[in-house]
Amino acid sequence: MPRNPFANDLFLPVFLRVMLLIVVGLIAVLVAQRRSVRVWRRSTLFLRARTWLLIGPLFVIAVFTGGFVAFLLATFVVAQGSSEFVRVAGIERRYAYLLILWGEVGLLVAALARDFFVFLPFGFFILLTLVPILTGRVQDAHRQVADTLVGYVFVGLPMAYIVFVNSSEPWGLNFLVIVTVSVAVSDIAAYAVGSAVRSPKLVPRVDPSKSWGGVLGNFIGAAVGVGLLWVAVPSEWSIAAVVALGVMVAVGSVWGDLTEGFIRTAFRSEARSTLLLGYGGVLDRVDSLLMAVPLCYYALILADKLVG
Amino acid sequence: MTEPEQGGTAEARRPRRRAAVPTYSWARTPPARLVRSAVQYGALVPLLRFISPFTVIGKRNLSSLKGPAVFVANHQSHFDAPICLAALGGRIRRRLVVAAAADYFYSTAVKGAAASLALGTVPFVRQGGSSRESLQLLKDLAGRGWSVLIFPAGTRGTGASGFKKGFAYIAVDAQVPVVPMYLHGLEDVMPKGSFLPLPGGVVIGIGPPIPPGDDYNELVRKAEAGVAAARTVVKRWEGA
Repeated sequence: MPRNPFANDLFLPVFLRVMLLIVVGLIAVLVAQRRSVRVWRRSTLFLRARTWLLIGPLFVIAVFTGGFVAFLLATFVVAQGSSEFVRVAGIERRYAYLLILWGEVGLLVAALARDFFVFLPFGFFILLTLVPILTGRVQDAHRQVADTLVGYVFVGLPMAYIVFVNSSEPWGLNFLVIVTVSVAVSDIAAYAVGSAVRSPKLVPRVDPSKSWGGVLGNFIGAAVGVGLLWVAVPSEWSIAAVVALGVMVAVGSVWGDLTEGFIRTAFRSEARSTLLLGYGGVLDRVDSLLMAVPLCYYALILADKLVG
Repeated sequence: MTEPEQGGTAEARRPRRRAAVPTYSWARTPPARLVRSAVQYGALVPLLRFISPFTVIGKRNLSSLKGPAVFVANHQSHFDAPICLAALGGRIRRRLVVAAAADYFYSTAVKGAAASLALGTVPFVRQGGSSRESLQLLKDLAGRGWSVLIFPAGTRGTGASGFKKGFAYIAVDAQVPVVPMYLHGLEDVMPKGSFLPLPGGVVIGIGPPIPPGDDYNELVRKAEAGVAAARTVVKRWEGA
């Protein structure tokens, strides 16, 4: 059931911090660019800031409202993200529909039937193998099945993880808010530092735009993000756990970027969505988050076990 | 209140006879329009925004429209008409009909009635003698203040050229402007031959209205150029 977001003491502090972050980012873009309005309005940084102005508050409200509102947002990300992967990888439509369907099923399982959560990847494999078995079309089926599975592990499964953590842990909401905002700040800082500091490329054959300066930005951004949302850190988390979380936010952000880069390179795809101004598609925006959420979750548990 | 079957043109004042092409005039009565508005605002537009979030470029070109117009666009998908309706906004959508292939959308009575009620389509016979009746109906509707959305290439997947003259007959004879539109992205969402959409973003470019003039061929050329210009704007935007 949806909740009144204002009933949660955390809502207003988080909402105001996110808005402050976006407004400061927009002003920083204005100051940094110092160009004519015409040129400035078309710059990638401005388009990104404008996109954030829309999705930032929307995300915070949806997450704190919960229920079907948050579910609708997750459903949207799964559907659009999976579709973008399908276009990048050249997956046939019959497999594509299954990818989206199982992604949505995963959200439901994570929310309502958590005992079956671990069955999701194998269940999807079984479902996919039914396509060549039932249709008799086996040519190229192995590649289609494999690519669709990669798409599920890259998009659908991590989204299910987000719902799983949110619904199974008492601090699930705090975790989700901290990780999401920190990943966003980490990505923005990576872009800003990477653009400002000339440094060698990280893995040019995989992602020609990612530099060591960008990686430094990822770590700085993750630390700033976690610090900014310190108000949301639950009292039961140890300092070691919070540090591990921050490190994993940065690692996940870098890894997510590189993974999307290698997927695009591997499939030699220039398929680009027009969904989010300045970013392209949903996948471009959530790739880091999808990688960071499972990493952060297990890092948090591991750190707590080791320390506590 | 139902509309009269015939309009105000000289041809329309001939003695009434049973139309070979049904006009589905009941779908343009106030109760049907009310239902259509509810369906479009309550279900169609939100669903489209979910499946194919769309961005409209050049919507300010619509602000100069004070009366009806003929909207022409490239045709790629069965999603084209609903996306155009959503992109044009409530002010224009309220009094707009969509020319829909009679052989496809009106192959059964139920299908035709549903399309007419939900989307405001009118059957358009693409070939044979009845196509003149279809054109006449659209001219009459344009003369009575209804805008017309038509895909002048005639079929899906033909790009932004090779327009047929039908829309020019409507615009010149009814003296209403032509508004070129370019749809980008729907070829991936629901290409010809597929029955289920695959979610994805869509961009719609709307060009400035083109005055009808009095030369059908000239108007066709201008409309093709207008759609091509809208395509250029969309492509430039996509690369931003």
